[in-house]
Amino acid sequence: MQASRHVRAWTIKQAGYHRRRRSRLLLASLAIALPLCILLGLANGAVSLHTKEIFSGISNTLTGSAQDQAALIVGQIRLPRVLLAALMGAILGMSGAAMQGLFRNPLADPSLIGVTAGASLGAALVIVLGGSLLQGYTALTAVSIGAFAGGAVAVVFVYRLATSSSGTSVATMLLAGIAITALAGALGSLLEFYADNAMLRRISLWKMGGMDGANYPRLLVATVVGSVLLLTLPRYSSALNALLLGESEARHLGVNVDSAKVALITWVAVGVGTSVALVGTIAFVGLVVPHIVRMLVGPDHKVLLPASALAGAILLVVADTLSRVVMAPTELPVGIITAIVGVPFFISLLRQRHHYGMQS
Amino acid sequence: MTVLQLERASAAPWGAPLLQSLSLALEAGQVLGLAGPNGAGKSSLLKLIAGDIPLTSGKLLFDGRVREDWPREELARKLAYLPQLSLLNFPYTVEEVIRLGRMPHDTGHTRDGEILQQAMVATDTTDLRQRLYTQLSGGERQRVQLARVFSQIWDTEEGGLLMLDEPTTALDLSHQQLILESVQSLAAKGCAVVLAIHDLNLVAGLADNVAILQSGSIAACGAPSKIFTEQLFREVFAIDVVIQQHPNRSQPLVISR
Repeated sequence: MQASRHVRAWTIKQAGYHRRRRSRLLLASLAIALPLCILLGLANGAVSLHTKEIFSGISNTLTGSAQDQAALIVGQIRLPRVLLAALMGAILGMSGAAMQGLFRNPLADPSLIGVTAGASLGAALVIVLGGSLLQGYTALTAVSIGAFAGGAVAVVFVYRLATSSSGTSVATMLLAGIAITALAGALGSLLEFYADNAMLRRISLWKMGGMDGANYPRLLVATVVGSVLLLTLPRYSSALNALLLGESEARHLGVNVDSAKVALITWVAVGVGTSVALVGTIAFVGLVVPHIVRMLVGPDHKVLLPASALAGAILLVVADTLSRVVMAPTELPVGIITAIVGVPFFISLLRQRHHYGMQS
Repeated sequence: MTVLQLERASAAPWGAPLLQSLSLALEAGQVLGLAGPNGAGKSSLLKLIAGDIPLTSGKLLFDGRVREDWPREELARKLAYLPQLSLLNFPYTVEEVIRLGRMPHDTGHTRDGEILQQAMVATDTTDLRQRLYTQLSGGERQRVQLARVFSQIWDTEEGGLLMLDEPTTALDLSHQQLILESVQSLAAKGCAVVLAIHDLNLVAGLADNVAILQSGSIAACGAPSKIFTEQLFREVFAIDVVIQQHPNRSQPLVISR
């Protein structure tokens, strides 16, 4: 009795009085931690580099002057890769936060709208149909285009299924997303059934996700999509805050619910579609990062969206660094690392979730 | 000033008509109670007025203009609607929930803070301010949601319309009384109020007019002291009641036999 009252008092104090201060603290520490993690990612790998070598490597790459080994490693391999990981993590984290708000469900995930499954099918289709014709760099690009197209088709399909004359139902969309995901999964399995061993290996490696295809053209695509997404989604934070009350309530608070819904779904589909196309499927980041941030600072999207982006970027940069270091020179698929790093942290938070007022 | 006017309004969102040919008018500062058996159309009428279900025929006017003529943001500053059920399942603090009511307004953080204080006093939620919504009891949640809609139209001059769907179902007696007094003081400031409510003695003490709904149409409408008759209760609610004068107030008192 005494203990539970103590916990209750603690919760009350934590929840309200400290929430605003904690939000600022979290945003500030994430903003400081991200560059440090990027530096860590640049320094570590099959060859370890000193901070001085990293900075001279970066400046040599920018000026295009003398290329020593360190400059080549930093400029040609690690810099595009680490920045790509940061951008993908930010896109997945913020998209996840937006989807959980839109679906009013802390268990929602950006892949719920069918984009990930559709993209996987698109990629598998290109790998199997392209067969041995596709080699090297063109293969990677073709697979990416196939993945993006597959994701786009799936989202449009899910959206059309959930839209009737009375508007788009988020609940129907969730179910349609599950149905389309199952269908795409089945078709993907069918393709794998007819694929030969080499194709199977490529499909399964692609599904595990990885940053190993990073180069400057891909980084450019990621930067364009990422910066538009990261600047656009926060404009809907008030709308998302009101949407947590319910769609009808949000409408009565003056939110243009229908246009917010279309915009959010479109941007998340573009963001996640791009990420799957560039680095394969990376589960966990979009689901768990916003969840963790919400436990720490509450559901206000003005903080939740940017903090989820920063935390997602950090998680993916760290996971990618580990994937290169743990079994160097062999690289592990990054999706395995995100789960191994993130899950224990997430479980430890879940065990104290009553402190944060989460019920589900 | 006629805040709300319905002329032969009907609604049939799912095929079968839910509301048939309803006509009503509500002046600024008036309180209209909606009563009737389960499924009579009280909530549907509120949803129709709030715009959650579309009008199939007839007219619905705010301030003499149809909904489509009002910009969405302006309507949100004039109309506040509290549905029967709240879906909120995210750990907002109570203060964050109530502050959402100020979203349509651009009155600034300081003024919003003052209104927040007053709305919390009007609903006795001041002590809950820093608590998490998900950890509140049903009655506490209902008071917080009430504070949210109160704050939304707290300083709306003439022409505000507050719609409450069974706002007192989870409240204890003293909080029921407090909410009724707060609704009355909002009405005294010029806000029109429509509320669906099952407790007929509560509505008789509060509302200027009561509309008794039966299967989607209005069976009776007028001042409680005029329309509350034993025959009406037999016909609409299928129960025998005794109707007497309230010992202290000028309102009828409905007692089940």
